[in-house]
Amino acid sequence: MSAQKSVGLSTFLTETDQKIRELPKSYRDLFDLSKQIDLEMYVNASDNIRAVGKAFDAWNEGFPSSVALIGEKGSGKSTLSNLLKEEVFKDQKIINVEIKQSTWKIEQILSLFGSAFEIKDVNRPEHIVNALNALEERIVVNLEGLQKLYLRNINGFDALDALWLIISETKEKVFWITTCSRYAWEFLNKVEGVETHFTHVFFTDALSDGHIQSVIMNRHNKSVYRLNFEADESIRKSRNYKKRLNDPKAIQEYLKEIYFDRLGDITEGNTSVATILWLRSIKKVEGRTLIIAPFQPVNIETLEILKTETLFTLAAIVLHDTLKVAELCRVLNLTLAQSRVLLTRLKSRGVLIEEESGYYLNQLVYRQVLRLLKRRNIIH
Amino acid sequence: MKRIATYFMFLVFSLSSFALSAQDSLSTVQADSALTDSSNVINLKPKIVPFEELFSTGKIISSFIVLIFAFLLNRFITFLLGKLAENQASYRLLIKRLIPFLNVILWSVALFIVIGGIINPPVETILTVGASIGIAVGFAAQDILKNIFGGFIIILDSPFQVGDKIEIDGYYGEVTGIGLRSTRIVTPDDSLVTIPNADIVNNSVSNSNTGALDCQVVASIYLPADTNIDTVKEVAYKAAITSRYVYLNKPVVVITENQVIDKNYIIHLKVKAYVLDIRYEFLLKGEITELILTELNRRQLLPSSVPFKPVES
Repeated sequence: MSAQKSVGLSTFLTETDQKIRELPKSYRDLFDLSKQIDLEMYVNASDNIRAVGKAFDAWNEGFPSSVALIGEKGSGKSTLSNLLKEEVFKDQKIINVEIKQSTWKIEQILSLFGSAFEIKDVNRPEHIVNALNALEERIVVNLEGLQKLYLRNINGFDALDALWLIISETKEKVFWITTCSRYAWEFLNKVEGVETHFTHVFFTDALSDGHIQSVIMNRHNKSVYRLNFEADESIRKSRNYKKRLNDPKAIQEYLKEIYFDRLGDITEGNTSVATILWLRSIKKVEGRTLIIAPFQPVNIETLEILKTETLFTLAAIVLHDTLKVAELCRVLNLTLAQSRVLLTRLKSRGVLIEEESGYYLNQLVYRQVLRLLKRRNIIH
Repeated sequence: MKRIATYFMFLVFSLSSFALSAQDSLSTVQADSALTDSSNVINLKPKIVPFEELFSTGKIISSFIVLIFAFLLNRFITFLLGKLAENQASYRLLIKRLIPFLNVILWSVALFIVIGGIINPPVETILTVGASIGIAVGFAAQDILKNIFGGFIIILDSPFQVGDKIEIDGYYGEVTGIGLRSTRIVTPDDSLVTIPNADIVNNSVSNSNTGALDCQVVASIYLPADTNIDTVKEVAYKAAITSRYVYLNKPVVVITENQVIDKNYIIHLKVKAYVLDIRYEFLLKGEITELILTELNRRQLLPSSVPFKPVES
């Protein structure tokens, strides 16, 4: 593999927002992952849709089934969940429960379910169980964000314990379909065998390099733009490039292949990371041609994030998706001041982003942070 | 980094130049000894090389320079590998294990260049000197030789490696270096303990992690006999799995033992968990203990003083 020039995080982040803002809005919208997409744009969905359909058929025939959709943040769990509503649960009553912030106390989950299922005076999980079992029709419950139902703290598993009770007691009346981020799932599986609460588990982040290319190209092909890939210094010096010099079409094919190889390597099957990096790679728009700059991975090693406390903070964020200052206190057993300093320091360096729901990892450095934590044996 | 690379290139270049010049002198000496051999056929008398010729000033200086280069190169490689190991947690132990092997190889090459290439004594001299030194050193430096042979045995037998946590002779700590004479470990209170290799070979060695990055940690809590065991075990398990230092690819086990101390019943709670990096061993142990005690105190399950339950006589 040829040597790739990497850029520092601060330069990378400063340029990224600006570059993406400069792109035509119609093109940006095609890559907006928060928007609903057609089935034809969703890569590798058919297998998962078919498998969930089978589980649903089994539930309809009286076999108690429940489904978990697992994948990294940004790997398309919510998109798949939305597609399932149209493709599988078309004529079925669906109740959506989206967990937007950490809900680890028992009263929090009871209140959430109480308002979602329109049940009053809920004090115990059994009240939810009785109310759901008393429903006249069978329903589908789409529970999004299982990773927010716990806190890695000695008292942080009460909400999950209540959920397991509710799921196991209502499986015949309710078809439970939940989404969970991969690393929270793996943690929960190791500590309390979360897998045993679901009859079917599907993964959305097992995309190959080819799939990642399709994710990008399916969206790009809906636009009117042509692509022109640029070569970097190392590629220009390579024999493979030189021998194609007389054939511009072959050169473009070759550069495209190299670009998507590198993109596949760095994103490791994560759709969201791939789309952001793709938009970041568009150097300029010349008429109806997009000039694609050579792929430059961002280098986070230059940041001073290798300190132990910082690494454990990042690991906590990866395990919970989002965390507030007070929640990080509980997870790492720190004081409020210590937690705030750790989080704001990472935010000021662009590694974390703060929103109302808490701090979460910047998608631009998601893959690099995961690699770093795996290398340090902190996440497996 | 560039400066280090340049320095490294300079060292390699200098050492290879010396090796080449040593080879040249070796072939010259071989040619001389061939002549000597043919003259031996005629004279039937072994030629005795004068002492001044064998240890001429030039040869001593050359040998000295080669040994200094070997020493510097050794230190340099050890430094580089040490730095590299610290930046690669997953390969830390593997990289550190290479260091003693490289030390032995480097010193062997240096000695070969000095004896075979620079001094180049006749075989008879080697045998005579060897025998004399053998007898003298055998009597005078028995312990040193024992340690050196012990060092070879440790390297070949590998009961532990650099980076492992071992206990020997009452000392527990991380192995930081395996030398030809001694092995060095750093104890949890940051003391450097140097243990002669002969002692290690002749004693039992307990190795906590045997090359792995993780190792088992046992946190012990002593509780009154009438404690609610189920609750305490649940708290202990959750304390272990929520510690940031725990390695969850291996099981967390909580066990209780009933013990009688000073005619009193005591519950001995043991939490066995693996730490994700042996460097956090005591941090994990401390965190589990703190979390359990804090939670038991919060739930008022711990009395302020331990009320022992006397054994009925």
